[in-house]
Amino acid sequence: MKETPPIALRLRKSIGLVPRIYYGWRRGIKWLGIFLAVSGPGIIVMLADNDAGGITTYAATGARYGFGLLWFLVILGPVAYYVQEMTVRLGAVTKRGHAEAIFDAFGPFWGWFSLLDLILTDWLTLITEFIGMTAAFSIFHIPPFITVIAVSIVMILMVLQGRYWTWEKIAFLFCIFNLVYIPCAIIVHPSASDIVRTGLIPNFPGGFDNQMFFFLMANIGTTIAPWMVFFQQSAVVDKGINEKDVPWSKLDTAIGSGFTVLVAGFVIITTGAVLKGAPIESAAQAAIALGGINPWLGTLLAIGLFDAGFLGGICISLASSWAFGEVFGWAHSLNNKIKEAPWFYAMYVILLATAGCVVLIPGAPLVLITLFVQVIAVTLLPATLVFLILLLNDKERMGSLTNTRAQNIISVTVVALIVVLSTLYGISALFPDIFK
Amino acid sequence: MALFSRIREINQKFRVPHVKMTRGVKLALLLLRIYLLLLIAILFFKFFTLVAAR
Repeated sequence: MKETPPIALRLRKSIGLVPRIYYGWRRGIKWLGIFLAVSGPGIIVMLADNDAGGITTYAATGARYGFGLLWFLVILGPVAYYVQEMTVRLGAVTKRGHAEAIFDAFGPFWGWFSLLDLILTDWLTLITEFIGMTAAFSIFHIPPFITVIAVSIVMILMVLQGRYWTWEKIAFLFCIFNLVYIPCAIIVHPSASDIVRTGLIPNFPGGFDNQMFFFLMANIGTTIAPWMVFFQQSAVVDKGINEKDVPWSKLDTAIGSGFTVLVAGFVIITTGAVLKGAPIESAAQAAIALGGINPWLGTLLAIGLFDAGFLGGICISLASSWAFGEVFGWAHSLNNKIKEAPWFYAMYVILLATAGCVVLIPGAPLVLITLFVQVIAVTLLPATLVFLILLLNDKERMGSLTNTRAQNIISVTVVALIVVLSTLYGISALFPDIFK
Repeated sequence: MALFSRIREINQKFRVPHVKMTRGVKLALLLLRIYLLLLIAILFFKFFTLVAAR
């Protein structure tokens, strides 16, 4: 007896080409709508990852090795994605931020360790963001105290409007400014064949010496940071992303990691094309040097540096406020008004105000603070990543979104590499001569 | 005072870890403790080296 084909198949055969294109178009529009509604945390966290410290590292990398280490960034993109997509699943399933999830799963000892280490790391990193922003605006002859006050006011106003959605859209606007490095790279007319030949084929320009090792570790250290894990998981929860939204949220993270690599790559291309061999130690120094070659270049790089510090600042201070709110049981959503969540907003303002004030203290040990950030971040990063993997393997809680064997192999390998290299980076920050 | 009582409440609330303490989890937590102790030892070493140099 002949079998009747399923109804869907019969319908598809009976529908003509034009209706099929029409329904395909409608489906595409629907998917785009869903993606636009879900996207945000992934793109924002990934672009904020290219913060003031990150831009400095990339500028110095380009000045030292030209395009030679571009291929390494291409590898770091997927690495950042694998770490961050785990936070998406965890947040969507548990509806808890990372700090609360650690307390709940591992008890108060690891909970307090993570929370206090996070707040210290975030506060110190926030100081470095202010250092970057004031340095960028000092190129335009704006005094640091005006920069600090103006930036703090804008950052506070951004969260006080009482809606997560509005905050996210403003953050997106600042993300667009992060792309300013693309015209920078176009202005310097880099040779496309040089980029492909020397940059995209894995190699170690000048050999694999200790200096090279230090730069590789610095690039890893700026690509994966503990605050990113805490920020994205809390943002996923605050945004109300559910298990069914996870594929879209993963796409959001993947696009974000693509942009991170793109922006970092263009910074390296810019400094690598015109400043190769110059002793560049900070992004502000690179902006001044580029300004001497072409005023537009210096201006664009300074705007980019300011934007990087600003994006990093808003995400880092929010990550801490969310974490404290979760653990202390305060209302902690950007959808809450000040009256509804006074401690959450107070925490945010205190972090910003104190970090901004440190930058303004005459003779403050800013270099020491920058060094200390690297060391403290190293104490928190392994714990954060190990907890992330353990939580993602909790079958009872994670259900169908538990890590698969393949995901575990990839994530454990990635985490082990990050832990080893970031630890060596932290040690080299403490003992600069150890790898020389 | 209110802060300390809140901290006590938090400690009480999260007193029992909810993750299943398999051999793998215990080993990971043990390695993490050893790693952190080593890092603290390095930090102290650096601190005393700096103090001694002065």
